[in-house]
Amino acid sequence: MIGVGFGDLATTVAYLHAANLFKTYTLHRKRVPVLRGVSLEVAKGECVAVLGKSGSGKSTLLHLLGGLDRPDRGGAGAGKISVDGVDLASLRFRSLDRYRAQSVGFVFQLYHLLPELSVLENVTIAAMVKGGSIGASTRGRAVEMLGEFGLGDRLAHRPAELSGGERQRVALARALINTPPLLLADEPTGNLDPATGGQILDLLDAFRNRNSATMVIVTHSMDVARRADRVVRLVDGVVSTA
Amino acid sequence: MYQILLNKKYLTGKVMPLLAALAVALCTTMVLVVWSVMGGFLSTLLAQGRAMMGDVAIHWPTTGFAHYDDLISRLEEDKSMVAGATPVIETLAMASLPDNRIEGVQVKGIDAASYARVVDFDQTLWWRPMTEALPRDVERRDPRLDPRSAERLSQALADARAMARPMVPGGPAVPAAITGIEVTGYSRRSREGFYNINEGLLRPQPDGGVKSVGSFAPDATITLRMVPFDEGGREVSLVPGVFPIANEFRTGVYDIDKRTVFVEFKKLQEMLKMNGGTVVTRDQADNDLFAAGSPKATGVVVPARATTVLVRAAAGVSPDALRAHCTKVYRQFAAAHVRGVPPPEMVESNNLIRTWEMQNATLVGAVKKETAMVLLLLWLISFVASFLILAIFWAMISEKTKDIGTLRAIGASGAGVAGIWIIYGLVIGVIGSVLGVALACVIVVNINPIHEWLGTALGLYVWDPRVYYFTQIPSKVEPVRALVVGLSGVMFSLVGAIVPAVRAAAMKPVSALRFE
Ligand SMILES: Nc1ncnc2c1ncn2[C@@H]1O[C@H](COP(=O)(O)OP(=O)(O)OP(=O)(O)O)[C@@H](O)[C@H]1O
Ligand SMILES: [Mg+2]
Repeated sequence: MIGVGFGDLATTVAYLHAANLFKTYTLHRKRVPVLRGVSLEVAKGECVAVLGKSGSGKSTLLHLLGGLDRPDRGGAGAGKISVDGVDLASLRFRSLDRYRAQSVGFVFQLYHLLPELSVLENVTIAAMVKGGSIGASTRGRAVEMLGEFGLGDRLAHRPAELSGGERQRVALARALINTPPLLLADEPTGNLDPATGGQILDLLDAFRNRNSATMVIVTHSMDVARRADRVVRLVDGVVSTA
Repeated sequence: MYQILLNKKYLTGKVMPLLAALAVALCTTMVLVVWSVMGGFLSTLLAQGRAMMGDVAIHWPTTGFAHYDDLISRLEEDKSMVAGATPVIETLAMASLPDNRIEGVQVKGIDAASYARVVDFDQTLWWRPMTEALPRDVERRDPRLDPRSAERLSQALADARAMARPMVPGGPAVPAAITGIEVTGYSRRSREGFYNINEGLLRPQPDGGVKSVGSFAPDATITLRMVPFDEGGREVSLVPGVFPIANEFRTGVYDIDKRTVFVEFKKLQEMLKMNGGTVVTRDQADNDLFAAGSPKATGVVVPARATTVLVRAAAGVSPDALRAHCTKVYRQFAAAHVRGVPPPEMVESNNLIRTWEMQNATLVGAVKKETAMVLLLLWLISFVASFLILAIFWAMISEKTKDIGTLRAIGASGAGVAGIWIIYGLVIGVIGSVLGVALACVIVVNINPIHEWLGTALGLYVWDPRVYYFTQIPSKVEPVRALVVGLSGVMFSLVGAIVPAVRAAAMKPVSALRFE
């Protein structure tokens, strides 16, 4: 299972395997092709940074990998995504929901925190969605994690009372609370100053080392790209590894 | 359960759910108040009517039918069906009221003893000594409470039971009348529900003068002019009868209290020449009304007649079951008196064996239709209101589409997300319905004081006893109705929530996330 191979796709089974992904949006009868045959392999425990111009389809790709959306079918696209040996196309309804709840931690570009919930509740709700009810240990873990993220004194605050960077850290804590084997992060340091961003990256590294988690991180930051095991670029709807 | 956590947040500290619950509450209140009042109105009408008129009447109008005694004993044979039966003569009369007004009234000849077994007549007799005031008469101004009147009132009650009263004080008792309390115009209902005895009413007199008339109906007399018919249905001549008024009765059904006069059965039978015996009759040749010749005695013995036999059902027997029983008994009765009584086919085809509800089909039907109409309108309004609730929920849920996308993205299922809104609708529905039903109960129970208050404060008397049939607005909430309305309120809110909830659940997570 483990093993990174670029040249020999046929013999190596990656943790995350995306092949020939197409995604075209149709807006007002105009077809907007965004992904035009993206293929990506990520090994278990590997951290891949995805770079690309704004509007190049980075978020779109992440959504497909996270099971939030499906790649195009038919036509040129016979795309396939498999994670830990499971073909996402074969997952329907509850099993796809379970994949999102159990296997993926998602950090959204726009945080997407629930405005009515406190910081702490925004983190623990992910555990509730995954496991029904939560115990004191989960809550303790959330408090601890938020403390590490520098939000220890903001637990009862609402997202609206936080800065962009603080919200981003809450979103990151929410993504990590279930210790997912796969972390998909859409510009997790986009709103952080280099120092704080660096701290967050340290925490991410620690998390990855502890749990041998696999990570795909969309970023514009060269800091992040430098720390990643590997960098891929999205150009004109395909991955270029230059 | 994240659904409960989210509902706690969504339901508190927001105006929208409060408005939705309020909308539900107002709708349920409105429907339940109207249903209770209108429905209470109908059931009071039926109950009062039944209590006053028996459950079933076997009726042969105008001429009446013979051998009613036999019919009554046949009916009373089956104690499991019939609690009692009594003969009644019904006719119309021009009544000269004590103040010289002339009004058309319905005269009923009743046999006090057996009549009381069939209808709750005794309890409707108004003038009687009382010690306990009516609920609303807190100042105890009811003249019946005055100990100085006790003796006179006891006398009036005794007179009513005997249906006899002396024409002049100290004179011999003669057959008396019992008038509905609204007939003479002497007794004026107060807001508290009792009747005042008017002092010194001035009435114009036939000679052009004005006279101050007495004020206590049981001191007065009433003259009834009636048209007797012979057994062939031909009118004989107008007969006047002067009756001392023994007492007044009140059923609470305004139409009855305004238009009915009871007199003693035998006396009325006699006046209407229905008492039988060897009477003058006409032979067949004279059947043509315009033929010359006068009635001549034929020596034929004609049995006494009554226009109606009223029957009371035994406990637990429905009016309809009793009616079927009466029809059966009537057939046997007619078979025993071939040619002597109206044939059963005619009685049945003319629908002359009727329950109280059937006899008063116009009134009952009108009230039923009115109730149904108003309820229909209210359900329609509630239906519209449920769209309002739907709109509120739609807005609420749309506002939360992004949250739904987020929840879906972190792994919540469509059903789980829909569950949030179903709980939301359920909570709003339950709170709204409970509030609404409670409010309705408070309103209905206090509807008479509220009405009274509207009357005194705003001069707005909605419930005019001259328009409606009761002097009190029915003020009982049937638990079943409260339950039906409450559950409907919950259901409407649930449906209002389910529609947008399902839409939200069916949304793709990304579309929900990108929703602005
Ligand atoms: N639902 C949609 N309907 C139509 N077009 C869409 C939709 N979602 C994304 N797009 C288009 O797809 C393209 C790629 O969008 P995406 O969000 O993946 O870009 P991105 O690489 O994440 O950009 P950025 O760095 O600015 O976040 C954009 O041009 C966008 O307009
Ligand atoms: Mg993006």
